[in-house]
Amino acid sequence: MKNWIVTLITLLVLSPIVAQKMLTRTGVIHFSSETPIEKIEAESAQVASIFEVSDKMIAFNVLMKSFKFDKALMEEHFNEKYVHSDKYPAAKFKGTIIDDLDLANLNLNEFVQVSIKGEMHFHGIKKPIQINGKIKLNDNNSFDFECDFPLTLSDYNVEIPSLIEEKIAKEVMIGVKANYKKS
Amino acid sequence: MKKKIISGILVLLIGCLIYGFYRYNKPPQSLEDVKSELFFSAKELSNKFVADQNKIAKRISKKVVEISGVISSVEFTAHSTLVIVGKNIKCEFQKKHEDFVVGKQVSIKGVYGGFDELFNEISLIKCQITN
Repeated sequence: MKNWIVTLITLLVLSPIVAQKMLTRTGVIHFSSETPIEKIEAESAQVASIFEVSDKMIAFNVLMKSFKFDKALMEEHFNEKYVHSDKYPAAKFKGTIIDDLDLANLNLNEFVQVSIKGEMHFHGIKKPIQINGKIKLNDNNSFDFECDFPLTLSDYNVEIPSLIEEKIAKEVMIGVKANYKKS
Repeated sequence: MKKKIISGILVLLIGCLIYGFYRYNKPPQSLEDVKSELFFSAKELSNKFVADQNKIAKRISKKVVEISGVISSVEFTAHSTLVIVGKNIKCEFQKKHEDFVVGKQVSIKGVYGGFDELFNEISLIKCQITN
């Protein structure tokens, strides 16, 4: 009887540490397209993301309408002509960290490189991708995550009219920053 | 006479160019001076999303929506403020609202940005406080 109680108490004490579901509502995703003619960039600061430490799983959801542009016309064209945000309101990524790392026991305040293998879901297309990024455990028990990766627009059926082909890069750079806290 | 026509056309052309330049560079419109078109309590809107998400999403799409409710969480980022009103309506403001605290009764107008399926939250963007 005593052993059973001890085991139960041990499990209850350890479970918050082992089964850590971390989250953020204010992840930042920045994308930029640079050509000799024009630089187009936008940012969303309300990216929803979860990080399951023990499962090494990271998932992102970003609403396309939450991307902010400097110019109204660019924002309008982005939503209505390129990503069709009414039809495909969100871009999603879900993946697993494939490195052999004990994420719950990282050195404090030190970024470590990670590779994440997963699936991107954008503009109605699902595609397996691998992202390289870095993770840091902070002394307040939050995690910082950062990564940069290129995204080829045509892979996701995003069509650029031939008239403005030279203004938009075929490959855009995506930058992600998130600070995860316990849920 | 010919000179007058040519000057007239030139003025028109320059006018068009200036207008085009202005339109191209115009920043996204703030909702500060835009009137709300639809009104809901936070509870009402949340319930409508549970009842029939597609129906309510279609109804509020591209309209200025005003909700009233109690702030249940506040988060500041570098240039914005994100609050959750009621159970699951997340509202993004393009400035720091230091006066926003949990428990505060607010009325907020914004545009529907979509439904976030990760946390089951209704997103309102370009938000402005109305009370």
